[in-house]
Amino acid sequence: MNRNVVLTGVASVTVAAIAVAAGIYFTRAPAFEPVGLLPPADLGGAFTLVGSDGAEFSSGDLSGSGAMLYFGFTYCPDVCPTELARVAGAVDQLAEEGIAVTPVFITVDPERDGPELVGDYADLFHPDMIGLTGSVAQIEQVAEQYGVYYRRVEDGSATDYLLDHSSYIYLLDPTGRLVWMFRPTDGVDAMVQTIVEAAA
Amino acid sequence: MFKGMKYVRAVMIVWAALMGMAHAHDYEVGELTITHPWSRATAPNAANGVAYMAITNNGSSDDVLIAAEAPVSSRTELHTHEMTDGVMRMREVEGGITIPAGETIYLEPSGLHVMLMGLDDQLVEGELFPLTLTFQNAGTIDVEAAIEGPGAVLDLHSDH
Repeated sequence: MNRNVVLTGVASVTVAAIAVAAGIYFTRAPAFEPVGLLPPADLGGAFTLVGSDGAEFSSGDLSGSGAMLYFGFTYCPDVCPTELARVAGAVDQLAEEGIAVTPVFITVDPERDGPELVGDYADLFHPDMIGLTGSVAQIEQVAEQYGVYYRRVEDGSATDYLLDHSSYIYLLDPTGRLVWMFRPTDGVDAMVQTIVEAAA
Repeated sequence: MFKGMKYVRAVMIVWAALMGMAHAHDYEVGELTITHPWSRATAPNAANGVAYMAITNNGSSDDVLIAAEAPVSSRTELHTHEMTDGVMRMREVEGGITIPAGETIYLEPSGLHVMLMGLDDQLVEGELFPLTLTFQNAGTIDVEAAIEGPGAVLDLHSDH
């Protein structure tokens, strides 16, 4: 894949489609290596945050479909968009497999990321992506529940700062239970295949 | 039957991606070649954006990218990025980005990049914006960055 020139706006779909096509037409022996991590048993749980319309949004509103959560911030132009495009690509591929997963973006920068900003940012990546913010206390709590590390990089400016943050994709099952975590190095097709196999 | 459809779709998507890259553009300044400066679409009212490119030093002495300026943003910084134990850290590169003689340095997602801070306007996919790059030895050059999709990851490594 490194040898190809690819736009990931379409690449996640491309990669999976190529993998599927290649698997079927050439090797006929799809090699499958699950990717990701089994989360520590104490991670996860229900949360109540604020949606892009400013109204309360609770994790119960996601029930009925799986969910992929990503914690980031809208002022992040490099890593977060890459990861959210991967989430969006995986969600689309899973839909083709008949597995409904809702993409969710949760800011760890609630002081700057209000409801409208998180909503616009989520919309950029997928029409079904839900953008969530909350009070500082709410975000601290959900981050602690999911083991999300984030820290403001102080540069003396009140508004022009960056955040260090952990970068995992969290997979919730349709009951809201945290079942798996993916890392930035896990390929989209491998993530999808891991979920498809687990759901089979 | 469905699998056949997926194959057709894969071919069409690859074709579309390659057609997109037909717009790849290069610039020369001194001994440097700057390949396909590009950026990502942003949300309305987004504060920050990013610019990426490949820079090849065809000369026999090192050069340094010391500054980038873009009228679309109030200021820019040259950033690097590292991941340890699953934590992403972005930092300003002190002293600029060295382009060693005879080598190509890639500014690319999850690596070196130009951070555009304080965007005046939304960056819209398919549009271009000007970017001025200043090198220690080669001097200054104006380039245009092509705005790709919001989470685009272009790989310029095979473009040579």
